Amino acid sequence: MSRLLRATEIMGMPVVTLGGDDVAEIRDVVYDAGSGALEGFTLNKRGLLAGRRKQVLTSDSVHAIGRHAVMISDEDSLVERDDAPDRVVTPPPDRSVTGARVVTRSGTALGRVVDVVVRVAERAEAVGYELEPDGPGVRTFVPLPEQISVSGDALVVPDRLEEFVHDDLSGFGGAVDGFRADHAGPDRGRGDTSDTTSGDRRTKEQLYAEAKRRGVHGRSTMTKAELVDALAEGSER
Amino acid sequence: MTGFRNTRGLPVIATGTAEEIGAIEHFVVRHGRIEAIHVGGGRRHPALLDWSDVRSFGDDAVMIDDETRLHEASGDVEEQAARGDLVMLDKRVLRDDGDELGTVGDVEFDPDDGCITGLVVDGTTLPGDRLRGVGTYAVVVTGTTRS
Repeated sequence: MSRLLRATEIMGMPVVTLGGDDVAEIRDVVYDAGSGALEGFTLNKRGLLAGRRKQVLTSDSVHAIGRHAVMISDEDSLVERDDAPDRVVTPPPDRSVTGARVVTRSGTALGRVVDVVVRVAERAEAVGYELEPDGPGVRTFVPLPEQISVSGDALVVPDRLEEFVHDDLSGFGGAVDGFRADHAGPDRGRGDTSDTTSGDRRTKEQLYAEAKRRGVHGRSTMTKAELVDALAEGSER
Repeated sequence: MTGFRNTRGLPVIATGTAEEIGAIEHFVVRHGRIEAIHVGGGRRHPALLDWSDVRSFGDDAVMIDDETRLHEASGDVEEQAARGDLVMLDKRVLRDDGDELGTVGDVEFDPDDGCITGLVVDGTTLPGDRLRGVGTYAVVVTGTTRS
């Protein structure tokens, strides 16, 4: 069984022991921006204006994340900040995507990030973003892309992501699975010529020799990148 | 069936002197059974009565040997209990997966041994062995997940 929750729904949830005591509440949800895996939570003390709690909760100490509470076995499940992994205590600043514009590689703006969607199953992970359109329109959900470039104010995502935009959270789990299945396929739809060039381990001399063997025209005036492209085209025929 | 709801206010009587020492205020439950009874009812200082000192839990009264069986709260849990922080009735019920099921309507128990036999949550009775913990914030129950 799995369930989708918004990060903002988890924030403020009480952290409750199996003994029934509320020992803290969730301040922030910390996840790995690359894989989406939930790293843990920073905490506040319980009560209004109670302030930050020194301890943090790492994901492997979580008993369960429900609709109304984050359950832990007992108060010893919380760890001091000094003993906790850095990635939970001091997440990199680019982790904060709220407010960022999401733009596809070819330049279509999908909206602004207003929330992160977390899927809770045996393990919890961030699986997508909730986006608010720039103009009028409804909020949408997009799967968390595996590879994106991030700056302070924008996320650049693959064009294919546009196919997986979903407008309600209940059906979004299926869209995430569809996106991932597509992503895991042999054609990952990524990589342009400059990626290919930098990824090619052959030297220019080796490429030239190969081009000569195959009789590629104009090979003597080609750059390394052009040689790579010419050879790639040749091999497809 | 004996429940917390209808035994609240039941007199606690000393067998030797036939004096009414107090009345049941609420119950302290740990590890699936009644550990102590919080005795109030006009007493200036509410006190705890260990379940092991209950001679008989009858339909109309709780019988004990004498008043010396009552004791002050000592330790964190007993002090929380004496403050009423661990009262189960009307407390929220969380399943151990973090979903709230409702509030405690009543707690059913066996008057012979103090074992909790059932937990009434929003009209549904859960078996007593699903009781996992009674804390300041919630009563926690285990359960096969139903969504």
